[in-house]
Amino acid sequence: MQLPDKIMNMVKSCAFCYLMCRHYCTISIVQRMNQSTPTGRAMLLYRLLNKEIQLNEDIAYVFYNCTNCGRCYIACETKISNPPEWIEETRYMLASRNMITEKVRALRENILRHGNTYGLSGDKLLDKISDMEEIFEGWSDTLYYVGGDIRSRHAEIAEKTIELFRKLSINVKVLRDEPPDGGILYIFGFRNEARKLATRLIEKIKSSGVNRIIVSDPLAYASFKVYYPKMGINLGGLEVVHVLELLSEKPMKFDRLAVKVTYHDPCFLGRRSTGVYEPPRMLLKKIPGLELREAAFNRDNAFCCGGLLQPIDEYWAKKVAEMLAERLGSKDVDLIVTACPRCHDSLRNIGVKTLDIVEILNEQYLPGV
Amino acid sequence: MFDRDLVYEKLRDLLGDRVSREEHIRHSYVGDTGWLTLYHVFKGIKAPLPDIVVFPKNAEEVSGILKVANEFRVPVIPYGGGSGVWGGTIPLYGGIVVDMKLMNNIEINEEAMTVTAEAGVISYELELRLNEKGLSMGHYPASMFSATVGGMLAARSSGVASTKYGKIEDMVLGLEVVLPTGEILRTPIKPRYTGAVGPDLVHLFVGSEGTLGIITKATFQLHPLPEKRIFSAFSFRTLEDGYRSVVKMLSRVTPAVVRLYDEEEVMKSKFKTYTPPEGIRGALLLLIFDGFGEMPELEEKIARQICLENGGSYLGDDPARKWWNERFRHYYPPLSPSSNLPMIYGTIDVAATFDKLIRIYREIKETLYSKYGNYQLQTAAHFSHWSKSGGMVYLRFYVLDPPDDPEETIKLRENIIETAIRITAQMGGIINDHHGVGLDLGRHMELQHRPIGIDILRKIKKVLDPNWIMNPGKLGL
Repeated sequence: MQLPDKIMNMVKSCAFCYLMCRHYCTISIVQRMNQSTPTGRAMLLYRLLNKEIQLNEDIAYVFYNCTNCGRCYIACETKISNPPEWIEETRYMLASRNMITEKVRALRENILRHGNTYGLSGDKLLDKISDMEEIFEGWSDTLYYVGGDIRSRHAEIAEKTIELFRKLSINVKVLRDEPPDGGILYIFGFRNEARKLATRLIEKIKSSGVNRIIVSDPLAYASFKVYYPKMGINLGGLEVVHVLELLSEKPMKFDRLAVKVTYHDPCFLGRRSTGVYEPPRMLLKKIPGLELREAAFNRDNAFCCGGLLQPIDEYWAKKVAEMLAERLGSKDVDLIVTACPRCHDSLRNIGVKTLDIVEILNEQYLPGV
Repeated sequence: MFDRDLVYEKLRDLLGDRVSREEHIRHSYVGDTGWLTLYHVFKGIKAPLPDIVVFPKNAEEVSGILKVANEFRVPVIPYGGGSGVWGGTIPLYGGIVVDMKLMNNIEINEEAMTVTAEAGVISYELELRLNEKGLSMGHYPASMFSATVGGMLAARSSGVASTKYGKIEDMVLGLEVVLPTGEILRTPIKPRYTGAVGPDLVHLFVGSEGTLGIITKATFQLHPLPEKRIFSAFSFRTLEDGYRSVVKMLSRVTPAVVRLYDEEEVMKSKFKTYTPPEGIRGALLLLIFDGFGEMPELEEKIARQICLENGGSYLGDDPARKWWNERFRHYYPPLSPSSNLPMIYGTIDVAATFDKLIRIYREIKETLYSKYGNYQLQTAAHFSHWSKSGGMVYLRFYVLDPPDDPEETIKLRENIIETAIRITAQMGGIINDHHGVGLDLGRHMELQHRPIGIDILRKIKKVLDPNWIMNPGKLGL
C-alpha cells in the first residue's frame, strides 16, 4: 500500500500535528474519540502504511467516517495539509483493494443503478411538471443540470427553480436521461466509475448544443468546479454557474414575508468549492420583512449537516445534524433556509423546519415590478 | 495478568457498545502529543497499547469502571484530550484507557459567576460557550483546541493570560472526583479555592495526573469578557534589563500577558515560537493589559514608564498584537517542532521566585550548551506565567541531528532533561510549571519533594488506591 508523495507529506503533517483542528472537525466534535480526529485518522493511516497494523473493515470505516466538510482545512493556520484530499486518496486505495464497508458498497450501487444516493427509482420531475417534455426536447443554449438526489427525492426544488426561470424568461433545457455527475463516487474512492459517469455526462451535455450549465445541487456544482479538473475531464468551454449566482445577477422584486430565518451555508457550495456565500444572502435581503440572522459560525466556518455521512452511518449523521441545528440557533428563528438537498434531509430528519432558498424566492417573486 | 475477556464482558455490561478492544482503537490511545509518544510512532517502535478503551458518560459509569478495575487489578489510565507532553497518558502496563470526552456538559451560573463543566469538555468549547454570554475563564492554553477540563486540572494547566487570571488551579472552586475504589467525592463549591475548613481536598486531586482518581466535573470562577486589550512591546539591550522591569512592574500593575524573550528566541533559533520584528537585538518584552474603562491604558502607562527607566525601547503595540493574533500558528505543521521528527526537542518549563529564576535559566543554558554542544544543541527561551513572587522560564531545546539509534536518542533526550531538572532542583526551583510530570519527569519527583515528601505522596496514594491501579508509573508513583 502506497500513497503519492504529495499526499503522504500531508498525512505525515496531520499525524504529527498537536491536534490543532480537533475543535473544528465535525465528526470529532460529536464523536469525541481519538480516531475520529484528522490527526487520529492520519496516525492510523501512517501505521497502516508502515504495516504496523493490518487493514480490515473496521479500519476502513475510520476513513469513511468523515463528512468531507473541510472544516479542518479552515482551522489549519498553515494550510500545509488538506485532510479531505488525503481522505479521498485513502478511499481510492481502499476501493482498489475492495476494502469497503457494506454501506459504502450500497451507496455505490445506488448511484450506479439508480443515479442517486438514496437508491430511489423513478424521476419525480415528471410528476411535478406537466410540460416537462417541452423542456426535455426544446432548444436552449443553457442546460439546467438538476442532479439525481433532487430528481428522485427533492423534485420540488427543481420544480420551483424551473418556475422561477420561466417567470424570469430564462430559457433552459433539462436532460431527459441525466447521468449522475460522479462527484460522490469520486469522493468515496470509486474514481474509475466516477470518471466514466463524468465523461458520459459531459459528452451528453456537449452534444445537446448548450454552452452554459446551471446547477442546483451543491455536490454537482463541486463536481463541475473541483472534481472534474481532478479527474482530468475537460469542460471544453462550458460555463458552469450555480442557480443562486445566476439569480443574484437578475433584477428582482419580492413580496413581503415577515419571517426570521438563518441561512445555512452548504459545505460544497462554500468552502469545498468556490465559496458561493454572497448570492444567497443578497437574494434573501431583497425580500421585505425577512429578517436574516447570521449564525455565529457561517461561510467558511459554517458547520456541516452530516449529509454525506447519512448513507454510511445514520446514527452519527443524526448527531451531526443535531449539533448543526443547535449551532444555527434553529429554535430562535422561524426556519432555516439552505440550498442543498442533503442539508434539508439532515435537518428535516430531526424536525427542523427548512426551506430551499429557491422555494422562497419563487413564492415571493413579484413579476413585472 | 488479568482475564481480558472477563473484564471486557463486565465493562460491556456497564457501558454497552462504549467499550472497545479493536486493534485500531487501541492504537489510537498510545499516549499524548509529547516527543516520546510521537517519536515511537514516527520510528515505528513498538509501544505499550491499552487492552480496552472505554467511553463513560457520567460519574456513576466511571465509578463502575473503577470497581471492575479494582476487582481484577487492572491498570486504569484516565484520558482527556491527549495533548500532554510528558507521556502522562502512555498506557505503560496496558489496562483500561478511560476516554472522558463524552462527558461534555456545561452549566453556567451567571448569578454566582461560576461555570460547572464535565471533565471531557474541551477548553475551546468551554471558552466559546462562555464568550457567547459575555463571560470568560481567562484561560488560554496553547492546547485549548484539544485539551479537556479534566486533563487541564490533572496536569495543572496554565494559559497565556495566567499572570492576571491565574493557572487552572487558581480558578477551580470545586470538584467531583471518582476515587480509585469507586466512591464519588463531591467537594463543596467554595467562593475561593481555599476556605478555613482544614486541608483542601480539591487540591489533593488537582495535579494528581490520574494517579489518585478520575476528575469527572469541576466548577470554575468566571470573569466578564474584557472590553478591550491594550498591547505594548519593548526591546532591551540585555535580558537582565527586561527581567528587572518585569519584576518591578508586577508589584504595581497586573498585565494579562507578560512574555520576555531571550536573545536566542528573538534571533537565532530556527524553531522559535514567535517571529519578532526585524532588527531587534537583545531581549524582547510583550505586554497585554485587558479590562474595562481607562484601567488597561493606565496600567500600560505605568508599565511603560518602568520599562523606559530600565533601558527599554518602546516598539509600539504591533508586535504584541501580532503575537496575540498569531499565537497558535507555530503549533501547526510545518512550524511545530514535531514536524521535524526525528529531531529531539523538549521543553524545560521550570518556575522559581524572582531571586532565583533568571539564575536558574542562565545556569541551565550554559550547562546544556557546554555539555551537549557537540550535538549542536540549540535553545530558545522566554519568561512568562508570572505571579507576584516569581515566574516561569520556558526553555525549549533542540537537537537537530540526533543519533540514528533510537535507544541512544531517547537516552540523550533524557540526559538533557535530567541535567536541566537537577540544576533547577538544586538551585531551589520547581521542576515543572504547567506541563505536569507524566512519565518523563516522574523519576525526578524525589529530587523535587525530597524523600520525606515523596513518602507522604506514596502513603496518600496507598490509602486512596490500595491496589495501585491508577495510572501506574506516572508522577513517580
